[in-house]
Amino acid sequence: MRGPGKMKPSGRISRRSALAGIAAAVLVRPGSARADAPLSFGLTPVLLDSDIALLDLMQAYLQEALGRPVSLVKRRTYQEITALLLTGELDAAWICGFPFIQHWDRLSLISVPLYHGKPLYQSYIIVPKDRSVTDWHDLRGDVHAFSDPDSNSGHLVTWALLAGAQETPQGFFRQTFYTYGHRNVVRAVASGLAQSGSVDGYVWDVISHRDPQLASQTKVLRRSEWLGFPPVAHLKTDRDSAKIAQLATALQSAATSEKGRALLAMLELDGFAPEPASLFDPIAAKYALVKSREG
Amino acid sequence: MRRLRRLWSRIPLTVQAPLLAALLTVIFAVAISQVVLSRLAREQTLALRNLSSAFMDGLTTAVTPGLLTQDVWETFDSLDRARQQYGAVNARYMVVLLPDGRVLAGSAPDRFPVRSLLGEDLQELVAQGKPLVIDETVGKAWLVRGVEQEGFRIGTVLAELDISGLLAVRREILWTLIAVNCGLTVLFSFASYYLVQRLVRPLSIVQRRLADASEGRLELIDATTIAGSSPEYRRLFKQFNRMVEAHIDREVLAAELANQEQLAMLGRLASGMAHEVNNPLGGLMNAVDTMDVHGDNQDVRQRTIDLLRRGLAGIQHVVRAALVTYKTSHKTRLLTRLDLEDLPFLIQHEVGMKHLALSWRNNLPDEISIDASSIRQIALNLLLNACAASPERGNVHFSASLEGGMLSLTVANEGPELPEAALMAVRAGAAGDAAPSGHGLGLWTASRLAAKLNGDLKLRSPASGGALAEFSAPVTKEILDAVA
Repeated sequence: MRGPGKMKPSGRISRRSALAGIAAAVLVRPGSARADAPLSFGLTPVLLDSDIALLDLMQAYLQEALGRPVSLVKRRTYQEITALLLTGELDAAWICGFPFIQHWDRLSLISVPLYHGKPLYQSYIIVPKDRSVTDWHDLRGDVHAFSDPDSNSGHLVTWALLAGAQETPQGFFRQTFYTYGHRNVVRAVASGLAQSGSVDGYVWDVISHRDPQLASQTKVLRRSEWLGFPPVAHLKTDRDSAKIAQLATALQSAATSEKGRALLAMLELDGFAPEPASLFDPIAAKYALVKSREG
Repeated sequence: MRRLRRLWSRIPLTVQAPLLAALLTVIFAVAISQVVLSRLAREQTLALRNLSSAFMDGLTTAVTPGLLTQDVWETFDSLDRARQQYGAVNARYMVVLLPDGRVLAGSAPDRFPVRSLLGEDLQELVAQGKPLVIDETVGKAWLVRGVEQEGFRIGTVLAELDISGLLAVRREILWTLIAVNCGLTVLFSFASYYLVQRLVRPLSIVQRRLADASEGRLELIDATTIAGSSPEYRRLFKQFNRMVEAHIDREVLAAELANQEQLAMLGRLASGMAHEVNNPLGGLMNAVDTMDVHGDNQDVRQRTIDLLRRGLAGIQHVVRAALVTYKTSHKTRLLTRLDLEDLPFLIQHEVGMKHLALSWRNNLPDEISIDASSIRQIALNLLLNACAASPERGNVHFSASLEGGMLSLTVANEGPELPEAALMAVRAGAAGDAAPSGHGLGLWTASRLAAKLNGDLKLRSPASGGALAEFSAPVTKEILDAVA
């Protein structure tokens, strides 16, 4: 299994790297020199969708901790946020492990959330509550909901599972579609639009606490192995940026302030910790597996 | 129809009016309800058409991006949001179809799975392409709208609406109308019953007065009642009172006339009796004078006494005949032969006046089972009539006989033929009509009495001239009872 450090960059990534380098040289560097320059922080739908209270709290905490304005940037897809990050329009972003390993050569980890004390989470395959299936093999011919093409838990894990069984999503399932949000996967399965779905285990757990009526309409059919939690990353070129250092400190010391604790409580996380890139090697392995099957 | 009309005419006015009021109210209510409900249905359909059009405008706009990319989730999410946003439309489901008719996404995925085909009925509905189809029997409406982009059909949106709420409103209004109209019908019925009763109350006063009048009690309607009535009834009451007053006046006049007639009859009777008594009275006075002068002469005295006896006997006959004829008795008396024998004395005056020759033949037995008084009156009237009709020195024939249980009286006289008035008087008496004015009262009386005895009175003019009156009546015990 090759880890992120061992993977060769793809051509697409190289082009993006070039663009990001130009952007970083033109936009980011001059801005980062200023002590009160705003921090742009990208959020992917790894988190809960449209949780305004969460966004407000996160912005408030980061502004307080960083002592500078913080603008939170949300987009519908992982790809959009990743592109913004790679082009230097974002200082940092909370992305998924899958984009991280896709762009490992250009991205560095700032912090990884701790869920139940560990920087790990699972991917779930969920089905409607009243559906009588016991094994993922029974899902053949389903309409299956994925979260995002660039989501680890909402796409890659199931993709890799099928690849391991010499299957592809298009061949195994009758129909697949992307909901561009883990919560939407739960909604799709709960409403019957999809007969099964791939979802972030952390998000499903949080929904089961926050919106038990929705989560209770589904059940977990399969839990994946523990994988690296979606990290907060930045361009490697910003390694020495004061804003990045401040952000890392702010995230990792969140538990020390009231707003930080409130934020962690709302996120149902224990904190943030610096982790090595090798944490995402298993995800890289899955990506390598599906690529090898397709190639 | 005639039977119904007859039945209707038997129902009192106080019931007819409420029934008519109720019927009219029901007809009016049905008509109004029909108008209201049809108008409501039209308005609801129009409102539904407008609402559904706006709904489909919004829905197609919302699902177009998803349709363009055939994005299942985005389309479903749009439908899901639309369901919350357009809650007032009461959409049961919304389905977005791809151009090949397969489901891209539906708001009810269990019923419309992704990539499935619609049921045949819905496929037919979509194929028809009607923007709005309403089926009130199931309380549903279907909306179909094609989604086009740059002139190309990229899909179709189908929605089923629950319009049971609209129908419930219509039903509620219908029941409200029924309840209100029933209430109005009952109210109008009672009101009309009350009003008609009030209106016809004055008529019942007239009705009571007329009922009293039929029993002989004629009373005027008092001034207070008249003053308290409506102008129409006031006129009616005044007319009734005028009628009553006219009737009372007529009765008074009739009583007066009867009284005068009675007095006249009494005068005539007194005059006749005086005349009959006066004739022998002159001879009696002479006889008394003769007795006074020659009373000592045996022969003269004897002749004078005979003369006195005959004169007094004549007076006695006249008085007895009058007594028998005019004495009223409530007891029916059977006819005797002698009852007719004294009639010549009663007409002696008429006979003597015209120097008539009276031919008298009485062949009756001593007693006959028939009312004596009626027969005597019939015979006397016929004789008086014959005497009156006869010329001077004419002949008057009278005969009475009993044959085969039938009593026959025949009175004939010479002179002119019977006048028409005489025949009319006999016919009127037989028919029970009123007595003719003027002449013929005697014949009318005789005819009436003949009818009462179940007898028959005929008048005719024989070829030889003059007139012939023939009376016949059965002689039975029952007749006697009937006359009694």
